[in-house]
Amino acid sequence: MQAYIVRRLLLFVPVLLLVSLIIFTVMRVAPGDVAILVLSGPEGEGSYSPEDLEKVRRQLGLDKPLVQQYVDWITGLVRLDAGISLYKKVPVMEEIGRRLPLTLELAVLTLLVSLALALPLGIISALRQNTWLDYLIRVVSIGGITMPSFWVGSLIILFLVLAFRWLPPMEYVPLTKNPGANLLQLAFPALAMGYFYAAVVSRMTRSTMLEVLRQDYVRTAWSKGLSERLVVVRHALKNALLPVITISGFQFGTLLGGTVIMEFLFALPGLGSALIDGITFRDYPMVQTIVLLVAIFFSLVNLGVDLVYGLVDPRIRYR
Amino acid sequence: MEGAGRFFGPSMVWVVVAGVVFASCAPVSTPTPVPPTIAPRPTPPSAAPTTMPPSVAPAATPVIPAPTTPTPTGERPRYGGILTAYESSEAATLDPNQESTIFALQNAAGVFNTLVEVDPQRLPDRVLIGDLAEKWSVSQDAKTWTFTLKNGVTFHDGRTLTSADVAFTIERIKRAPDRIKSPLKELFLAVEKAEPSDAQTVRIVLNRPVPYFLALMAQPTTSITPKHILEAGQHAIEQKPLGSGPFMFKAWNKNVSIELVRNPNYFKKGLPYLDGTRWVTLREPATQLAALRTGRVVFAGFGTRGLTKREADLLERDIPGVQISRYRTVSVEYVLTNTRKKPLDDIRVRKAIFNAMSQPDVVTTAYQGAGFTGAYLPPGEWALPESDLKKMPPYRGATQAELGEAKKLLAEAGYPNGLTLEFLQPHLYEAATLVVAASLRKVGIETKVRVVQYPVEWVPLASQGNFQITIAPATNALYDPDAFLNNNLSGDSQNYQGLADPEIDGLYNKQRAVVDFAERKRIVDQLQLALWERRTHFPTFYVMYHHAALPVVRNWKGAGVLRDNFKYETLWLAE
Repeated sequence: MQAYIVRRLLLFVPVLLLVSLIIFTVMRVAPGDVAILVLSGPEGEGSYSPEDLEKVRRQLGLDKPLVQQYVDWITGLVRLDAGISLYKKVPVMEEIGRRLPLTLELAVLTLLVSLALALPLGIISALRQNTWLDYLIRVVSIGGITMPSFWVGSLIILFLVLAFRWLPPMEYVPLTKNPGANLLQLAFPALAMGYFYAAVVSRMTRSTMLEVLRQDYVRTAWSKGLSERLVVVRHALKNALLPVITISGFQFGTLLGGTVIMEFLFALPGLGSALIDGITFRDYPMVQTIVLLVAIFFSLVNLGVDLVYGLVDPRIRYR
Repeated sequence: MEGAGRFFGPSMVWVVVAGVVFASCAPVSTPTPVPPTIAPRPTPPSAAPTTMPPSVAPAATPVIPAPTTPTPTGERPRYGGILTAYESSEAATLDPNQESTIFALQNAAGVFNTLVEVDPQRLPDRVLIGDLAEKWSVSQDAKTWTFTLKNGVTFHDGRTLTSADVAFTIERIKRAPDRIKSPLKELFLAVEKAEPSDAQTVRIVLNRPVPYFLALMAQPTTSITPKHILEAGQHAIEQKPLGSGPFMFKAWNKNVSIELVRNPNYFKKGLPYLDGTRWVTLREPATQLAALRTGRVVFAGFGTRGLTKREADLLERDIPGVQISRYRTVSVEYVLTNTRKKPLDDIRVRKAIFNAMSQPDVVTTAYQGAGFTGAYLPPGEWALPESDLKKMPPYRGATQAELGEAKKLLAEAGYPNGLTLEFLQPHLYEAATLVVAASLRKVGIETKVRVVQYPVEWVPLASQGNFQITIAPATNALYDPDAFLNNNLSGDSQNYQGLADPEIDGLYNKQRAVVDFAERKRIVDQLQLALWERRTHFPTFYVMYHHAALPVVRNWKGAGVLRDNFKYETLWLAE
């Protein structure tokens, strides 16, 4: 097992190199001149000369060959130095370090909310197939899939304002500083995003449960007179969980870079808004590093999912 | 992934890893981006100054009423409370000399003082009074300004603010040492030197008369900064500002909020009334308004996004006693033609375009009536007389005869069946683009709209002349012809229209050397009419911004021209 894990970790390297090359190329190919932005400001109000422009390009290292710029960035990353943000003028690692805990926490909370909603609903829907309860759960699931999470988030804010004249705290407080305020602020975006992900997972849970419930060994368990709870939890659920674990892992990966609209709506300073700002202002070091970080997390999550397979299904063993 | 491992093989992976680690150990020159040093621009030749006693421009004619304030007559100021507001973006630094954006100056201004300030009690009229300056005078040739400072002014660390700090700040803005940014550097090219005469007196010597010099000294960007700290490092107050203002810096929670706290030793005795201010970063408009409606913030519409007219109207409808300020800004959007490219090098085509345009249509259709019309300078003391403005079709909308004339002009220019132009649209300017495109269609000009990001994509394209017609946003430092009209000078980096006209250059340089308002106004009027004759660009309209404050905010007089007084030292919060 250890050998398997080590092999998988080593395979990260070529994957991440490829991702780094792609994101570096994409950022450089995108139209726009970051040197102009540095000189003219975010509102484009400053004026400058062609000489000013060349000077800034030299100062930012943008006059070097692209290969040199790429190598400088990659070798800096190995020393955990991702350079200085061209827009915010702070070390990229420092800025990411400030934002990453929030994004991770939001992703975890969203996943917990989605699983807490999806698993029971999917199981009930499968057990009560073609009853009014099944139809109701399916309608709610379709609603979650079709309604964008930013729309649900806006509705939540509207509801809170109109019904209670109240908003969640608008200033982010870290979990370690004030858990109550932190969870109060993150509960609502987690709910808005969790609804969407729960809808997908509940549909998946329902269909895999239906498949498993039709298996011979489950029929045997029913015939033996076991309670519904025992049949579902001990016999059926574990086997139905594998696709659910896969999709949940994938969802967690997408959450790391996909929370930007919630961050805007609920005033959360996470990685998503840093990524959008970086793209808008052509902040190459920031965007490249965040994308690489998301790729690292995605790879780790995939590894984690594969390892959990082994825990859930004893037939799966890694060498 | 397992397959990939077999493909690459473990030895190959080790080679790659070893290569990366080896390369990272080698010394590399990692680019260290730092704020750029901007080479000084050559001072344009000035005409011989008019040696007349300088006169100050009359107070701006208010074009909009002050907000209805619920402050009852005779209500006494109340001490205490934290003023909370939101900002839609976060500044890079809180060093006022390096910043010109609203979201930076909103916060930084409360920490500092300027030599003079716009009287907050007489807004929206813009009347200049002394802030740090007790009194001031200007020489007969209008080139030497002498300021006498008030006594007993200290920085927040207890050091006395003297004329040396003023001189240091002026030089700092002018020279931008140690690669700091200086947005006003170009305007400060006229400053020859600043020198202390004694501890309380400073002389600022100009190399030519600058009629708007006093207004420039009221800008938050010219806040007086501490010499004793910045001598040791010019970037020292970027993250922790330290000034002499009514509020002291308390905390900057990055991407979350900026907190200021009351200065108990403020030299204006009895001020400020507030215990502090708190600016929260809220980026989403719906959330901003929700925060105002629930009382989480008491101010709205500040920063890069003012309230729209509809939002302001809804707030007035829903919140009894809410105060709404409607005001003109120093920002404008031009419809701009590229005179270096066919067919817009032909004056007949440009005349046809500007015959078809209509500012009232843009204001009504795109912005629900929330805007001002005007020529190359917005409404106020520098605007053209109404009789001249009425000669310009965009100002009032074209007549049928003028639309017919436009079609004739196009036919004469070789386009009897109309033509198609590429319209370079900066993102966020869809509404104005659509209205302008619809106007042009009336005279047979079709447009192919290409949307690009502003400024990062738009500025390079516009600078290189890769457009035919575009909307060009412009944010000016001051309400002054120097700031609004300098983009018409030959060779200016923001002269996207490609204008290179000795008459225009001459008129511009002539007006900037005249101090007497009436004489200068006469030249500026000539300049505006000359620009109209060239038909290279024209404003789509002048933006009307809206601010809102909850009834709990007292003694708020609204805003004048956006970058007026941000210190909020005379505001208080009701019980």
